[in-house]
Parts: sequence; C-alpha cells; structure tokens
Amino acid sequence: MKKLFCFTVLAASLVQSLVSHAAANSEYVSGLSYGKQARLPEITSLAIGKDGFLVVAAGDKVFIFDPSKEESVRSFDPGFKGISAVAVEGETIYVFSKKTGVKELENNGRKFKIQVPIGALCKKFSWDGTLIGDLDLQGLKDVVNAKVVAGKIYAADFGGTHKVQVFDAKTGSPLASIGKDLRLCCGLLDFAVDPKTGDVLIGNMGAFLLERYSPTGEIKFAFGKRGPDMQDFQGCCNPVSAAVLPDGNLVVVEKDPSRVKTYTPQGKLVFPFADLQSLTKGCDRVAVVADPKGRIYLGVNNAASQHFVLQYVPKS
Amino acid sequence: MRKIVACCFGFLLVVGMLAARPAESETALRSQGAGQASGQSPIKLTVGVNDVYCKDSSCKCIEQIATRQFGEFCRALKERYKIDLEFVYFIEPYDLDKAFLDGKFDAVLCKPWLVFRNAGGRSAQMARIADLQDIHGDPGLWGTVIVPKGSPIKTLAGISGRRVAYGQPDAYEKHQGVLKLFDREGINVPADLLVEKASCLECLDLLMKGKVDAAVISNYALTADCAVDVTTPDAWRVLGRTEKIPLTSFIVDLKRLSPEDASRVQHALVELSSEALPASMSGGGFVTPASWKVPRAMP
Repeated sequence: MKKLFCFTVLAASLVQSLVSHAAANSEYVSGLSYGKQARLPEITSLAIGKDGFLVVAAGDKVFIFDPSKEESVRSFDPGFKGISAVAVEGETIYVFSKKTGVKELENNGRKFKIQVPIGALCKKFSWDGTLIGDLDLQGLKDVVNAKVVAGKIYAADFGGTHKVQVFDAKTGSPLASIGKDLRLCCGLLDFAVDPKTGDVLIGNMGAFLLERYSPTGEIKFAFGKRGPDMQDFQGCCNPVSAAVLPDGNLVVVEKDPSRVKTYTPQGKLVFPFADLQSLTKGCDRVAVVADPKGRIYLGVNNAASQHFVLQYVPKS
Repeated sequence: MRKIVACCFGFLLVVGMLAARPAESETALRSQGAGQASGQSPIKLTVGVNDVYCKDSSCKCIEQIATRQFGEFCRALKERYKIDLEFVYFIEPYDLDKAFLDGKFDAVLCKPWLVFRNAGGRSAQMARIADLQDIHGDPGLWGTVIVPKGSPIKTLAGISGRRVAYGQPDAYEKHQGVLKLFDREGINVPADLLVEKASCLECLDLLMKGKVDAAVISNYALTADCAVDVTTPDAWRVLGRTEKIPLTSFIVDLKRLSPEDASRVQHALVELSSEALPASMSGGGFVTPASWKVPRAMP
C-alpha cells in the first residue's frame, strides 16, 4: 500500500513538473533590438539565414545580423527600388521586388492616384551578397511577401491572383496556387510555411481567420474571430502575419492595436505577449519570423518612424 | 400585525424592483434657449475618439474617404470659445470601451451605443451634446439587410426562414435594430439560422461564401470600411434598413462637466461647425443631437 502511495506521489510530481516545464517553455520575454542605432529604413521582410543569422529587408537594402549582436554584420544593395520580400534557403538569399504603374481612381467625386503592381522581380544572391542571377517567376503579377522552403518559392501575389503562388526555386515554373476566399486589405497578404508539413498558414484578415492550407491548396483548418477577448482578433482586420515555432505552435501577429500571441496548431491561445510596444501605426505589415531555437523576431515600423527588429526569446 | 408588515415589505420590494429596472430615457442633452457658446472660464476636456471618418481612428485602406482631422477645428474652438479639447484616438472600439469603463476621459466621441449599451454604471451620467455628420452631411447610422445581386430573395419578407448573418449586441444598428425591424415587418428567422459576427466583413465573408443567405451590415460598411478592399456596393441588393440612430456623438460625463458647461461646449461645437467649419473636417460638422432614447438606469 505504502509503495503504491509513493508511486502515485512520484507520478503526480513528475506530471506536474512536466506541465510546469511546458508552461515555462511556452512563455516569452523580450530580448535584443536590432538596427535601432543604425536607423534602419522601413522594414518589409525578415528571414532566418545560415547559422541562425537574421536577414532583414529594409528600404532598398538587405542587412545581415548575428543574433547575439544588435548591429548588422554586413549589408548589400540588390539593386531594387524598394524590396518587398527577402527569403533564405541554405546559403542562397532570394530578394523580391515589384514593378508598379500609376492608376487613377475616383471615389465619391474625388479623384486620386495609386500605385498598382504590374510585375514581380526576383534575384538570387550567395550568402556573402554576390549576385547569382535573376529568376523569372512565371505569371506572377505581384509579390508582397515570399518564403523559400524545401526548394519551393512561395510568393504572396496580392495584386494579381490574391493568393500565395508556389514556384520551383530552380526553374521558376509554377507548382501550386494557395488560398481561397481571402478577404484582404491594405495590400497585405502574409503567410507562413510549416517546414515539417509544407502547410501554408495565411492571415485571412478581413475574415479574422488564420487558415491552414495543405501544400496542394486544400483548406485544412481555420481559427479566429473578431472579438473583445485575448484569444480573439481585433483591429480593422487581422491577423496580419504568422510564423511556425519549432514545436509546431504558431506565433500570430495583429498590427494595430499591436498584439502578438502564441497558439497551438488547433487555435488554442497559449501565451499573449505582455507589455508589447506598438509594432506599427495603422493598417500595415508586421514581418515575423521564428528561428530553429524558437526565438521570435518582429519587424517594427512604429509611429515615431523608428524601424528595428525586436527579438523575443523563450523564457526558459 | 405580521400580515401588515409582510404586505408593506412586499410593496416596498415591488417599488424597489421597478425603480431599479432601467427606464427608456433620452440620451441627448437639449439646452434650453439660445445658450451661450462663449464664457469667461476656460474648459479643458480629454476626449476618447473613435470616428469612422477620421484619419486617425480608421483603417488605411479607406484613407481617401476617412480624411477628417480634428486639429484645426480644436484650435479654433480654443481660440474662439476657450474650450480646449485633447483628443486621444482609438482605432479599436474595444480599447476605447475599456478605457471609458476604467473611468478615463471627460468625454467621448464615438458611436453612442458603445456608451449607452450598459444600462447602469458610468453610462448613466453621460449625455450626448452633439452629433457628428458623416462626410456627406448625414449624422445617421443604420443597418442594411443585403443579399447578393443575383439572389432569388427579392424582398425583406423573403428572408423569413433563411440563414442571416448579423451583428453582436454591442452594435445596435446590426443587432437590436435588426431584431426590431424583423419584429415590425413580421420576419421570422429562427435563432438557429441567425449567425452573430462582430464585424461587417465577417458577415460579408459568410455571405460571399454562401454560408448565409442574407447579412446585415452597417450602412457605411461598403464605402467606409475594410470591405472596400473586398467588394463594391453594386454587388448587393438592399432589402431593408433598420431605424436611423446617431452615427457618432460627442458624449460628456455630467459628473465631470456641469450642465452649464456642457451646454456651453454644445453651443460652441454646433456654432463653429455652422459658421466656420474647417475643410479638414471633410464636410461633416457637429449638429444639435437628435433625440434617441435607450433603456438605461437613471442617474
């Protein structure tokens, strides 16, 4: 009887220890800030590169940061007027930009001009910033975000198909088209790719949903709604972006009011980031990326026109 | 004797319950007489703001429509009437609601239902002193019942027994107003066919996916909301409209501002709007508040 009691107590404490360990692992605290002193231009995109180095597209340049240092170790100019996305696979850096034209519109008798995308551009660079060559992504009209995972380029084609288009990273030939009934806003279409499954997670902002699609484009799961509670999404339309953590959990970002939370893949709220500073003013992009160590990086473009990358690290 | 005491107790209980029940009361402060906009002593108010048509409290996707900026108007108000308004802008109504309930701000400029939907508490001491017009000069807000242009449903009566997406109780024009409309017009939509969503865009999303047959959205949703990036007004057939209520009201806390000062601010807002409305107000100024009675506790 005594033995049984001891065993029960031991098992209970083991379970409790595992539970509290998991809870501690799911919490995040703020870490370093990158590029604050260097006064980076507006940040459009983030990627994780070789050896966990952080790759930042800001203005017309690409900046490389050692995660242990707040100043960039180097930068290079890919020769684009405005970079819309940067992605890395292995030792290759992919830099994306878009061609734009002017379109005249009228609303309630008021005439105004807007820039509209008319094409997408992609250049490949070696890890040291040497140009390898151009890549023609066939049929792509726009590129507002991009990732490269497992030999595939995923490009957010906001101005064209309103979907994430998938291409072969070597040839540029189209492979798949992902996204259905996306209610997008402000020219934003951000997504994450789950490296383990190849699933694509898209922020369907107007529908206040984070949607998970299979690699071939079938919707597998969606969660979210607009509402007053922490697990809900708020603002005019959210979530704006997401990233997949090494344990499969998701980092989900809302723009303004800025909120960052982690969720299980099933959409259960795990950890809301407390005392988060404003990441952006109004309806604008917030780049987010997670590295293999579970560190989270957020691209800040705040109302004070400060542009830097904020790091959050697991508490444990 | 015991019976008499019991009767008295019962009578008092009933009277107490009736008194505690929120009565339908006027939310607008209607000043008596012409009133005075100018005064000797300065008035300073901190105001929480969420206005559909204001550049600082709306989404960038409607920046060509939501062009209103209050800076110039507030400067004129201070110079001409010694009334100093410090505006704090909220893009998220939930945040303004929370701040208001936490006791922040002497006044708010927002959809009045946000303030008056709670029958008791702080809302009992609030009064609407002016309504703000939209950029077309209309101070009203209403819900519109819509179906796709190609829908076989041609009349409001046709949505009886069909699936309808509508708003949550914190949006009068999309919830209470709709239930009143349905009741008045004899529309019967069973509860299990009503889908509640917090935003117009979520309702539109369900309608566009064919998951509902009709939706109720705010009157401005297709022209001054994120829906402008998703659809256009000509894609929809309007079957009905809910009652018209104030869109945006300047609502003051009468425990922080005397009725005389509230009246002074009211006259100043309306007078300045009619006499020298700056272009930065985008054509919509303040007007005397329309009567709107809602169930609420008496102060």
